[in-house]
Amino acid sequence: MTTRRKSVAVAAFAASAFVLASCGTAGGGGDEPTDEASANLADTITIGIEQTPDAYNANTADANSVYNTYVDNVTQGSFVQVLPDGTVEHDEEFGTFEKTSDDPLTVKYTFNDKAVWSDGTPIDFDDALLTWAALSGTHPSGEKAEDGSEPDLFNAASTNGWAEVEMLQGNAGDKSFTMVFKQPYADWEVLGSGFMPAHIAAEQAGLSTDDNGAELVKAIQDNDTAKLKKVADFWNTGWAYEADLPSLPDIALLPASGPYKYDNASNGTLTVVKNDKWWGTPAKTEKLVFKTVNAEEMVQALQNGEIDQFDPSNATADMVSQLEGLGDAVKVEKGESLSFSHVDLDTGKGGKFEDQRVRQAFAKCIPREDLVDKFAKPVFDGAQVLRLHEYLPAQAEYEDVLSQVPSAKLYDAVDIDGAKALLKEAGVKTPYDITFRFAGQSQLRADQVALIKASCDQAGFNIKSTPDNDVFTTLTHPGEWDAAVFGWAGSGLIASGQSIYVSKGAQNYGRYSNAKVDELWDQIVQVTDPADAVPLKAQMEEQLWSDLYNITLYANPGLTAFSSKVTGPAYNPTQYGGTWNAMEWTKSL
Amino acid sequence: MTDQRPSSEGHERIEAQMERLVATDTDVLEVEPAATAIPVAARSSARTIVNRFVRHRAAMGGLVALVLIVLLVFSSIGIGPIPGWWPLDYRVPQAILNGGKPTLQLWPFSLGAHPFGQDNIGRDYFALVMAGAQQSIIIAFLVGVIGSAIGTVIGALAGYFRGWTESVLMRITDVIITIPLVAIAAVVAKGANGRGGVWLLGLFLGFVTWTGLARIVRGEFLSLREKEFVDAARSVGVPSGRIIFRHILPNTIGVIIVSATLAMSSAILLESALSFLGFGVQPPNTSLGQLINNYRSAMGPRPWLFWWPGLFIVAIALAVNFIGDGLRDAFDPRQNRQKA
Amino acid sequence: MLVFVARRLVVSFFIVLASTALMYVLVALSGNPLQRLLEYNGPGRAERIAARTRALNLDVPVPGRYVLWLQDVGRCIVPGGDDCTMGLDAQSRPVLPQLQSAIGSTLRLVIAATVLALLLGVITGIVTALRQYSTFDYGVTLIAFLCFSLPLFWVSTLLKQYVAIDLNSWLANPEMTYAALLGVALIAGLIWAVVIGGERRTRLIVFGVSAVATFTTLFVLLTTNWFRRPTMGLLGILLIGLVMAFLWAALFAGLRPRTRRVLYSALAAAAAGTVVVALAGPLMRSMTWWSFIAVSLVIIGVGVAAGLVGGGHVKRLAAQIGGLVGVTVVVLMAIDQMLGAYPYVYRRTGGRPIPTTGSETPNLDGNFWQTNLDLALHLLLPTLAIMLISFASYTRYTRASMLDVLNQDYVRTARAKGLNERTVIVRHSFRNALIPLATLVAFDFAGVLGGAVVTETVFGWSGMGLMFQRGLTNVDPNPVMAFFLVTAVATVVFNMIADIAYAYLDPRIRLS
Repeated sequence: MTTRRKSVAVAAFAASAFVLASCGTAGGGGDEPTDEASANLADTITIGIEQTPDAYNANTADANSVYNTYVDNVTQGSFVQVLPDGTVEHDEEFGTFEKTSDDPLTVKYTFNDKAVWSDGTPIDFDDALLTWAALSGTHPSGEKAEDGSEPDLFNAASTNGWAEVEMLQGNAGDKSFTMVFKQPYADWEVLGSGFMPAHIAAEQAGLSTDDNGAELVKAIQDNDTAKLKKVADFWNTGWAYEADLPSLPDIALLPASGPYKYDNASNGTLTVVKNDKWWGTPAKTEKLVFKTVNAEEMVQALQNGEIDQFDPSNATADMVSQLEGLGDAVKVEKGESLSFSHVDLDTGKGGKFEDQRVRQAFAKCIPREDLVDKFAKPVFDGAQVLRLHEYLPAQAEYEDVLSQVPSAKLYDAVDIDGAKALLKEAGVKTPYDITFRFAGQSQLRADQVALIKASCDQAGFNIKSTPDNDVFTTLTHPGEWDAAVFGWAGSGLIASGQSIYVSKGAQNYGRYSNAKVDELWDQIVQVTDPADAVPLKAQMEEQLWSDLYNITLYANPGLTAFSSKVTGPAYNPTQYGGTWNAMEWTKSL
Repeated sequence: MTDQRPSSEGHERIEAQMERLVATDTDVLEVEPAATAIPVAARSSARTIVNRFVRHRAAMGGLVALVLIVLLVFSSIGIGPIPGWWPLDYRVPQAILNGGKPTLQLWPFSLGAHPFGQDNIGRDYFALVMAGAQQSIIIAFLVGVIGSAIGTVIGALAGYFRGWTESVLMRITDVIITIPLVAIAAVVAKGANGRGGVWLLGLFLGFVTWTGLARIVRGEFLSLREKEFVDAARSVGVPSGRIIFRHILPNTIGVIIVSATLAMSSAILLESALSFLGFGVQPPNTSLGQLINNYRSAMGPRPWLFWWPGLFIVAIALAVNFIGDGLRDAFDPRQNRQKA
Repeated sequence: MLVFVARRLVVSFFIVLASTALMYVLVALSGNPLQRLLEYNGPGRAERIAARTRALNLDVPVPGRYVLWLQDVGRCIVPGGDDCTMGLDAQSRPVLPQLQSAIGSTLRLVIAATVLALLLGVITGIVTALRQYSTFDYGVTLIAFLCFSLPLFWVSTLLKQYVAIDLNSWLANPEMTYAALLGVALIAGLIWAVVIGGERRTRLIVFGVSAVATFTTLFVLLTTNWFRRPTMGLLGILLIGLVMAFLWAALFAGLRPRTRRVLYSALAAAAAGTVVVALAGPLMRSMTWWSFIAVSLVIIGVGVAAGLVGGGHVKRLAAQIGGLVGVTVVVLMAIDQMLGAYPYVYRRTGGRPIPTTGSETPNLDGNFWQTNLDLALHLLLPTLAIMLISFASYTRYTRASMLDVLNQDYVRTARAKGLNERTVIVRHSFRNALIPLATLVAFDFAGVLGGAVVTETVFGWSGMGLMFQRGLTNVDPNPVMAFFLVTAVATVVFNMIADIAYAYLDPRIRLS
């Protein structure tokens, strides 16, 4: 026994001695830190993103990650930039464009003379023509899909806009091209983006890249399906990354046309460096690193200096207080985003909300002010009840349009008695059962439904809070739901909302139908001057509110948070995200 | 683990083990994953076991704590339609007082309006934590009972009948054992989601957490079936079912109880892991795991939302673990007599 | 033996087959892979649905789909199979490359956690068994039960806050008030006193000595700014190497006159190893894995040689201990080099070297030691998190097993015939107590992989756990199945190895 104790004591002493010894001698081995390392530090800004980018070519249907845009903002040049207030700014460094005719709508684009890809190849006609070929949906593959439709050679995410454009006329090597529209398209101004390097696609498809891509230009102009199929195959899949971005494909295939170019990727982290071939205003910081971080872990990563900036897809009150708890080390800019929350109602035949008075009763009992106070204001002080569908508070036109829509202000305050009266008038039996759907696993939506239930049950409704993992499928099945709360991402575009509001529109889940709204939309999508859309939309809003299409709640609050060492980030409510001006960011040591 | 470790019962036992090892050499392994081994229950009278358990201070502490927690949890907000003594409903939002901060005061003791504070929309957090704890306890209980029942039956059949029955049942066990528990639980929980509440989740989890016990019970049966009293029963024509349930099973009850206890504590943690991965209990239902996961980012700004459910999870799991330890010592006191 | 392995392989094959079939069906039933596309109303909807249906063979009923998946996996087993994809994911990308990049980082995590947990768990378990019912024993039991009762992601959140963020802030400006210093010293003293125990006087002495030692050490480290520029140096390697050599010799050979030569040769091995480290100095900057292995082998070889030359009649034991000392010196050398690399990593991470997310610092551009230090720092938090639970179970298990062995007749006999306590414990009990642990480790492996699912999600590791979690969330069956395939194969293989090791360690068991 004692022997053992002794030996353990000896061991303990020896261990202490060894701890002591380890403090020892100064000036050991290993590399001394070089000054070069510290000089580099301020040249890197790390941006936290919630999902890994999944493709260089973000225009394909398979490119899922919304964060592709975050990278493309700094690596891809385009003729236009959508600013945080939703206005469109022309990027004269990339090129110029102007409308030359209203009928047919004609727009002439000219690339900057100095515009080149980061591998030195000029950006010119073949790039524009390939974009048209890929995004216009005019190249049937000749194969029949199971449902009888014929897929296009190019697997484009969207053919909106480009589908209205006639084939671009011109010759290989031209620095300018002209878009002629088959019919007017309201958002024509934002089409000049998404150019992919045609010379890479041609080369990978086995076509010659000589003479500024003449062979590819000819193939598209002649509609040579055999050649185009190879080009399309590469366009569809050749620019996709491996899942989780373990590394980049050969960067020779990924030339950039913006202030930054691709450098490397590893383990889901993508690095872009200054593009030495960029002809415009140079970027201010040498490297940008896009690091994938789980949404819940962002604040701690920012606090620990692993990222310098992030803008959450879903800003919560706790996130704001966490960030504010970090004091001066972090700056936060907040605002209202272009996406908004709303309660949709099944207004179709046989639906629980078929009777307009029931809809009005529901609108009167939903505590919109309270919802804003509990879910939006803790993130952004200036949050307000949303009273329009097509214009959001972040947009300049909001107040102006709102003043033309008197019905939008009828449901601001909770009026339980009014709701009761309306229900009585409608002659429905109370309690009136409502199946209220929301996305399963979303605490936010569950909480909102709980608040609405607490209020509306007093008015005679009986809300059944129903989480649903597949809510968007359920929405397409009338009868399985009566009300649902979810969000729409607004784009700031003029025509994109059409399918939500017109009769039989794909996203018109509540089966709303109104001839006047349909007709107004027919006009809206064809305006060629954005200003012309405003009065039309104001009329449409008035109709939506007097019919009570649905009940808008608030524009989702958003924020951008960044280390106080970084200067430049600003909140951007549009879908282009926080890196819209990242080429201007700087970081001090 | 029972049947591979050399034990103090002498050569006879070791030989019996060897025989078993030879007979079952294709088994993946004969180990139970719990922390410590559970040797064959010493055949002591129930009273001795209870006495030993009562003397085990940590276990008694755990038992008292658990009883108090269960009483608190079920009496405060009531069970189903039966109301409890706490006036606030966990589903109903209240006006938010003082930023939702907790009003609990320890000295002088007072609960205040919202002892644990209020959540995002003003629901009483005490009532929510109680409701979550109820769900977590229900899940743990279901998993413990169902898992143990399945494990016991499979282990008993395999151990008693041997031969084909054993091969088939043990291969099935081996198959389940190759899959990490969290992973298989996540898959079945995802399947259970949206189809039913916690009862279904508990049921499904019970279906995948029986493997450890099945192996242990089989080991016990392999050893007990060779004993004289079983031979005696068999020779006077007692049917197999009766031998299994009336003669052998009571002798393995210690192992089963201990294992069921530990299964319950790990089920609470399993549920919280599933909530974190997004496959657990869904709102508007609630559970302790779901509450902590929801308010993980509230740790700094509103710590009570993060700590209270966490504290309850740890308290329940800790209490159950100590009870399990005490039970193990009570059923098998061999290690306690040892003085090094 | 061969027959045993062959039989086990066949059985294992069918077990894996059945387990993957079961999981395939369960995964297929857990959701509809087309769900997200059905929500989508834009152009190309039909094509996307068609493409996904093709990629995942959704037009085939589930059992047929499983067979097709098996074919995809089978192509990987057939040599020279070019079509080896392990199936396609929902975006029509092959799963195999994803698995290849994921498996490496997961293994790094799992192995680091297992090895550390095993080491610490076994040591703690043995000490608690030897000192059953001491304060230390109760303390460890409480900690172990606490570890069993903590939700993994809950702990991870706390670890990030307190171990990474707060420690980083401290490291940026390492200073302690004297009160804090004293507090740490007293706590350290208390811990040592509790660990060593004994009579009151012994405890007081241990308490005093370790408190003073801790205080002095910390004081010196702080005043020399060691935490900003940590270093050990050749002298440090030599000193610590000698102390460790003494400890190993004392532990495994005893300090009796008969084994004195073992002690001397161990000390010589430490000194010689340090000389090799010094000679290898020029290699350090441009170290690669190959040269590292070469240097390590030389150092270990020198240690073994020292034992053989100086060991006299206990040559074999001396050589074994010499080898152990060699390994120690290699570890010390690596630590020394990594300490030297610390300032570089510190700068490249903006002064916050302990990360909370990810598995490496992007664009580190470091040399061998800098890169490895960075990897080690990234491993720190997730390893700690996974380790806690394994550590608890190894501690409890080793304790129980050790108590059981100490209670055996042969141990009593050994004591009765007058063997000293060291011999009884190290040579007679320790080894036998460890035998059953072999199977536990194998068993625990699947559990640790399960823990990795949670840990990787918290710490943003792009490993297999994340692949599983995301695959299941997005109802993308093939990446999920790749995860299950790896865990199933790993589990059966590890169990087979464990059984073979078991038979090897325990002569009473024969494999037939």
